[in-house]
Amino acid sequence: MGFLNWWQSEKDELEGSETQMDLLGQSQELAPPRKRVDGAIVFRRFTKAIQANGGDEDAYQNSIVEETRELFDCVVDELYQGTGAKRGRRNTLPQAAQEAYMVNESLSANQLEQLEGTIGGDSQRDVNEHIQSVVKQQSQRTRKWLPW
Amino acid sequence: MDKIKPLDAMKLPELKTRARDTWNTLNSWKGDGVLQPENFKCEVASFGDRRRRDTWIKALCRFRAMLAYKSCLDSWALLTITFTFRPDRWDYEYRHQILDEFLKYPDALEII
Repeated sequence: MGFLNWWQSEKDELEGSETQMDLLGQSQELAPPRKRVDGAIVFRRFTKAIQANGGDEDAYQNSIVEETRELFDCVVDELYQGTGAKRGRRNTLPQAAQEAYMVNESLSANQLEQLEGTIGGDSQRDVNEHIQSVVKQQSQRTRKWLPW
Repeated sequence: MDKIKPLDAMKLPELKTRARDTWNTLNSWKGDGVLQPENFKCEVASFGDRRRRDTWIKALCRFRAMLAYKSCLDSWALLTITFTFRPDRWDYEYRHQILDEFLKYPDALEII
């Protein structure tokens, strides 16, 4: 299925649609509010996908740990220190690192969104571990395309 | 006199498991990834007598704060996810201590 077909079937859910009456009293569909996508938008989609699958704060935290280790062979702390970036401010990381996070979080969110409603388990821990393994696997795949 | 504990205060076995899990996450990324149980015991003992509940609470809160600090990729998520202590969260009762531990890092306020 090409993008346009996919888009046709998904757009209502992804963007919704709003209408407004024009001067003649006819309903006009409004242009959806779109904007340039940056790392923060992708990151929010990623964290939302973790939560939508039932992941809690540990699932988020551990996913970040796994993602960072697979993509960069180090921990978040080392990444910030080693690149002279300001901790907690992703926009101060080198462009290559920001891009790697962005692309991986986008692809991981795609995977997680497809799994929505299917991840279950006896405990919160089971659910978290399932989510973390999805992120870890995707990160391993993404890593293969990175130049380091 | 002991303070009155809320009815749903975490039991000692769970406290230990949580401390251990957090420690594992913190240490799993070091070197060869092999966890040394002895190191865990020593670290917990540095907070006091391992037979005391207080010791485990101190250890847990320090480990949670350290994890939040060392794996803080994004300040926005630190506030909206990591430190959003809702009453239904398991770490809710320790929220003040975890935050206090976090604030001991010199650049903690800048991160927030």
